[in-house]
Amino acid sequence: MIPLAYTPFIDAISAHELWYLLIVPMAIFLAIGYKSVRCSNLKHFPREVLVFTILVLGGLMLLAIAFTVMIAGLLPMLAPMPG
Amino acid sequence: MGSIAIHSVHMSTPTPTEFNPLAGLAAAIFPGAGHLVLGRPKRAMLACIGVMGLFFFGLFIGGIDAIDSKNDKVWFYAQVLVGPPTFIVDTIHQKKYKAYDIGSGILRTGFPGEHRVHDGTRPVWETLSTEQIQAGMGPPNVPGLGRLNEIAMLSIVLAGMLNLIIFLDALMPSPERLPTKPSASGGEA
Repeated sequence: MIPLAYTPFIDAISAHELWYLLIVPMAIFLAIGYKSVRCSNLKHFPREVLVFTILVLGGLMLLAIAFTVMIAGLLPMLAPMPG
Repeated sequence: MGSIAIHSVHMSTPTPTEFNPLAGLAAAIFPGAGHLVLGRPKRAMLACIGVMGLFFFGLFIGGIDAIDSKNDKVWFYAQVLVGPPTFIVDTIHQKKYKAYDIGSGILRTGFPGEHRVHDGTRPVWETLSTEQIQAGMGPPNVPGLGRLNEIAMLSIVLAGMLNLIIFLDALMPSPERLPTKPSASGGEA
C-alpha cells in the first residue's frame, strides 16, 4: 500500500499559481554554473553572477512585456474578433 | 627593437587552447570533476553547484517524472548531457515508478486511482476501489502537469546544456585561466 503523501524529488510540487517565480532560482543556478567557467577572476564572481542573473530575468521580463503588448494590444487591433 | 616587436605580436595573438582528455573524461563522468582534475577546485565546486542545482531543482519541481527517456524523448536527449545522474534517475523512474497498462501493454506512469502491483512477470497498474482510494492508496508518484512539468524538464535541460559548456572548458581549457601559481590575493584565476 502506497499512501498519497508528498515525497520531495519523487512527486511534483503544487505551485501552479506561482510558476513564474520558479524562473528566479533557475536563473541563479544558471549564472553560478556559467560564470564558474567564464569569469576571468573569481574575485569578481559574486558581482558577475548578480549581473548575469539580472540580465536573464530582465530579458525575460522584457520579452513578456513585448508579447503581452503584441497579443493583448496589437493583434486585436490588426485582426479584431467578430462580434 | 626586434624583440619588442616579437613580444607585442605574442601579446596580441590569442593563446592556443590546450587539449586535456583526462579532464574531459572526468567532466563527462560528473559535473565539475574535470576542473578538479585541472587543479581548479573552486571552479569545480561552483560548476557542480550550478549544474546539480539546476538538476535537483528540476526534480524538486516536477518530481522523478521530469526525466523520462520513454515519454519525453526529445527532452531526455538534452538532459543526458548532465551525465550519469540523468541515467540513474531515469533507470529508477522506469524500473520503480512505472508499470504496464493491462489493456494496451504500454509502460506508463500511474493515474490517480491506480496502484502498482506485480503480476508475477512484470509490474502492472491495478484499479483501486473507492475504499482503497479513501484509505490513501494510489500510484507511487504524482507526475507534474502543465507549466510546472515544462519548467522542471527545462531546468534539467539547462543543466545539461550548461554541463556541455563546462565539459568543453575542461576538455580544452584556456591557458590564461589555468592556475600557474597562487596569486597574491589568494583568488583562483
